[in-house]
Amino acid sequence: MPSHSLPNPSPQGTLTAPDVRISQTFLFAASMSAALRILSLLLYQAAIALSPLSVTIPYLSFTPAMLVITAYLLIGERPSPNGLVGVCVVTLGGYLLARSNAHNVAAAKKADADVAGERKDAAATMELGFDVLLTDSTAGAAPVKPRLTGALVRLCLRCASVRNSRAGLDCDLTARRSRRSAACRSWARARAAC
Amino acid sequence: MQKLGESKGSVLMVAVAALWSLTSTFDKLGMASAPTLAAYLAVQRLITALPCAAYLLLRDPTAFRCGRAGVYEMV
Repeated sequence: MPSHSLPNPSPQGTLTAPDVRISQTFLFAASMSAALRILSLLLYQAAIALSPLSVTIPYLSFTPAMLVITAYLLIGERPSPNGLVGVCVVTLGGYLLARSNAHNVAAAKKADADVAGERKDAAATMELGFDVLLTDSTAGAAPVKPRLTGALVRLCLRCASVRNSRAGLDCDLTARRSRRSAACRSWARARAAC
Repeated sequence: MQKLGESKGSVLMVAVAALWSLTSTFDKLGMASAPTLAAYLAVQRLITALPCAAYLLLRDPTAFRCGRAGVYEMV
């Protein structure tokens, strides 16, 4: 039986660890990059939490303009004239985009505030009508039939609930509930039906 | 630049742009002195992750809980 002997490992065939030498510049650059990246992520999250995305994100186009300065100061890199023109175009475009978006957002906020004010006025008018209805139907000279009163109160409650839900108001109907016992019963029935 | 100062988020985003310009420069500096591209990537991500993990561990240790109990708590 022939014996198979393994060849002697040569010095060239041995496995050695890769030559990984970490310089101080490498560690310094990685540490600074990591620290600034963490800080930038925190500021990024705060910025998009404070303002709309359409207003804040276009300002990231300022990065190439600042990169021209930092790259020249840190590693002495200079952009070409065509590159400088491109950087100016990109930065100016981002700034104009952010400015127009800010104008649109401000106009939309003003329109929303106007609509909310109109809804509050409408809800206040509806509450006043509800108050008059209860007073007239219970204490007026001509008594209103209970069935008719219940239907009117039901209708009024539906309108008021729609208005209040839109305007975000909380109309205190329970205070009015204690005014008249007859109106109270009609109101309770109408509320249960609603 | 008048519109820029009106929104606090815009000012913060300009600061982010400035920081990104610095990180890009440091990235290039580090890659030029790194043995390999993957080595720089790994070290940079490791240095980024370690402080965040330490902060999270100190602030909310239960954030690292995993397994069935954690999933049921989320549900």
